[in-house]
Amino acid sequence: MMTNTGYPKELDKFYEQLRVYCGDILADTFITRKIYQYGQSDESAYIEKLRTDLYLYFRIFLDDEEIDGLMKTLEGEG
Amino acid sequence: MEICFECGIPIIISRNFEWSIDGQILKRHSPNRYVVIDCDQLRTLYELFTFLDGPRAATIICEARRKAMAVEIRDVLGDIIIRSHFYPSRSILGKLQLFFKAFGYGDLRLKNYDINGTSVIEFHNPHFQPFAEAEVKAIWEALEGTQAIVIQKVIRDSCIVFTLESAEEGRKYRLRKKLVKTSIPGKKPKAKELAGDKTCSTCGSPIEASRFTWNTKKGSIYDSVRERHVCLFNTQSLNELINDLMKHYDDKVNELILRAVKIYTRNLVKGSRILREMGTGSFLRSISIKGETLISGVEEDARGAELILENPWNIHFVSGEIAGWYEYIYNRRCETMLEERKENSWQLRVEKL
Ligand SMILES: [Zn+2]
Repeated sequence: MMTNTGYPKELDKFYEQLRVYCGDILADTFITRKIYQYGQSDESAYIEKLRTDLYLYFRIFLDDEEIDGLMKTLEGEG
Repeated sequence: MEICFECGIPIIISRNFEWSIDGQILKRHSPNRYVVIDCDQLRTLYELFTFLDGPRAATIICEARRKAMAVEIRDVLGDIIIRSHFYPSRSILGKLQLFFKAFGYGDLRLKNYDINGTSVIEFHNPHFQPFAEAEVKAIWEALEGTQAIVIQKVIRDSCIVFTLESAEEGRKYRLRKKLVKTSIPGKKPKAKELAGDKTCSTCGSPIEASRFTWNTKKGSIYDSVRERHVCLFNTQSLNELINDLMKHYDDKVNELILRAVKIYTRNLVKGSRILREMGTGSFLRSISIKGETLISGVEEDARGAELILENPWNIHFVSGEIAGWYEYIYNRRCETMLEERKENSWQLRVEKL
């Protein structure tokens, strides 16, 4: 199911949160690219991969608390 | 490369650069300012943007490097180029190699430079692999006046062998275009050199700069305080790179740089006994000696610290380094607030969250 941002609903809130840290352009290009890269068919697959990204690469520019926040959003608790 | 026996700074550096008392490393007889940056720090920023935007970010960053390097090589080689014809002379190649080594960029060897339009460049120990291609292209551009394409790239351990060819179609045998000496535009700030008692009595470099060790064979510089390999960068070229990123990703880029540099520095301090045991004063001084900024006032209170930064080469990068230090010593997350007091002077507040 798509929402008005054009992302699957699982990523909608994630996008909203990510754009606070890296701006609209980078957040948008990042999510669009990841959806494409990780496959659009199975939504749980890219969420799983994003989770790995969060712990590997988001550490470059986000603090643990901020990563945890994104993680919760991704898991639908945010 | 000749090294000063007293302090270990290469003569080419002490002859051409001066450490001013206002926290800058300035090139003599040129408007250019330089800064010492960890290679890993550059890698972190590169990874950040390529992670978020993939190959497009890599292209933006490497193209910015290529453009800036071509200008810089022309500035370094200057009038020698004008006198050369058909192929670069030994003295040009020697000067180029020396420039790369003195700045910590690696060991460059021109294996073949044919007048039929191809050249083979061996780049040993490049300071930052993603930049290597941009840098050799810049060499071609500076020497030939045309853009180059890489027709072959072979990576062997710590060496990359590039085969380049002119991107221009048609005539391969041609007369070299005359190049005029250029320099990166910018107003040269007034330089006041350090007092005599703080400098090497042989070469005049600041005593504290002896923390940098040049490996003249590999063309690398090691910072013994940060325990990291470092390079000398033209600040204008780094700022142009950041500006190019901002054109694509708006000014959130500054915030991202501050965040990434802060986390990098915090982890650097955490992992280094030398840094951990250093007091705030010494840490801030260690940033100044890298040519990053002059810190003219520090006030600490229960909630955090307030600093006056004069002539930061990039206020977001410098603030990130300082905030990273405070986050380590306060052992908690901090918020940074910036206010420009007057031209080239900022007030930075690092406050505990
Ligand atoms: Zn000396």
